[in-house]
Amino acid sequence: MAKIHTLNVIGDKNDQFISRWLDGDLTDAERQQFSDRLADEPALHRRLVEFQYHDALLCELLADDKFSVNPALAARLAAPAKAPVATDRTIWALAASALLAMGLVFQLGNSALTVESQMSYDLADALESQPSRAQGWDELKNGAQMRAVLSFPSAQGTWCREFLLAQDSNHWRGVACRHQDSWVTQILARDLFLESGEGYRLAGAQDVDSVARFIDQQAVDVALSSQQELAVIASNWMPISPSE
Amino acid sequence: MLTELQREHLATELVGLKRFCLSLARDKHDAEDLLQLTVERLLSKGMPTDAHVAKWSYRVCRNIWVDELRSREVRARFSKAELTANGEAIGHSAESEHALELERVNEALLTLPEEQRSVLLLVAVEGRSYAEVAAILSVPIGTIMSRVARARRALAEKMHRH
Repeated sequence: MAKIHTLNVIGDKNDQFISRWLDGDLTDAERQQFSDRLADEPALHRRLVEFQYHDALLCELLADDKFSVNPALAARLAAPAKAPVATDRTIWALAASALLAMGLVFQLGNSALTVESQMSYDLADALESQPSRAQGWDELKNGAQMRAVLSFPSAQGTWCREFLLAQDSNHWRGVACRHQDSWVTQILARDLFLESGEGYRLAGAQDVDSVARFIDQQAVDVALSSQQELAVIASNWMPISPSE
Repeated sequence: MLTELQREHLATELVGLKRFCLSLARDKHDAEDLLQLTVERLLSKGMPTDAHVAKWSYRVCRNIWVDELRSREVRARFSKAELTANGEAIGHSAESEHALELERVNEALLTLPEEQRSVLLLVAVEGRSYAEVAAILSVPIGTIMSRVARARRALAEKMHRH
């Protein structure tokens, strides 16, 4: 298309009117008025064509096929969502943690208490070494399954991890924090989750809420990214320094 | 945490978001960093279940730019390779008049003030309404209206000078 030179005799208001027309912002009455003016004012028409031409150049310059998104970034969004919780999770600082020794459980029946005490060592071992994941399970030696969900720093300067636990038909969601080279369960609640396209059903939403609330109260920062977590695991969960 | 639907929606917005990042940062590497930070922030903080995914995402992106990245010492590269496609400069070889025109509009775009550049791209290229852009940038619709017009006028003036 040949270059278009326009004497810039059209004022700010006309430019804005043209701009609004191009962007579909005019009312019906304004559009009609503008159409009438285009027929009577050649300069207005030239200005419109000029703006349209530059818009077209921009669209060509910045067309979608000229922008490639990092595949790793797109993959992050394509990964299945992590196990949902009943409430939105905003993580803030402070509040002293209610420490529960490993083996103490929260709102569980007898069968669950038995399982938890049997899994103490295995669970601790898994929490120590297994990265968080969005799907799949880590098999524990006693036949139970564990999935670390996320890791976060607590107000006490220690690392904590949210995890899922499953054995037979029993499911739990909990948080454990690292204290003096061992993992201590802070909170554990009944949960129910299904895999593979069946979605998630939360049984006992109030129980799961308690886990989410605990995290909200204890965490001083957002959850670790996968890379950050791998580094922390490699460091054997070094205590959090004041500068972090 | 984002819902699965929000993640899917956000995935469809990535190209537009990258374009927006480029309009803010002007430098393709800084734009890449900004996009990465934006996605990471959205994944970690999530958004309300009733949030408009595109508006929320663009707003987060701009907030990160304003609050965190713009204050850094960002290298300003005014080379012709700024707005590039797959690593190759647009209009790098001036083989045709049209290629020259694309090169000129590229240069003109880069010299616009950030507020005009980002609004012009959101409206003229992304096709967003004034109301949507006003919500994204947290400014009145009237401000968007005048910024777009001023951006087009400034672009036209710069194109005339070539």
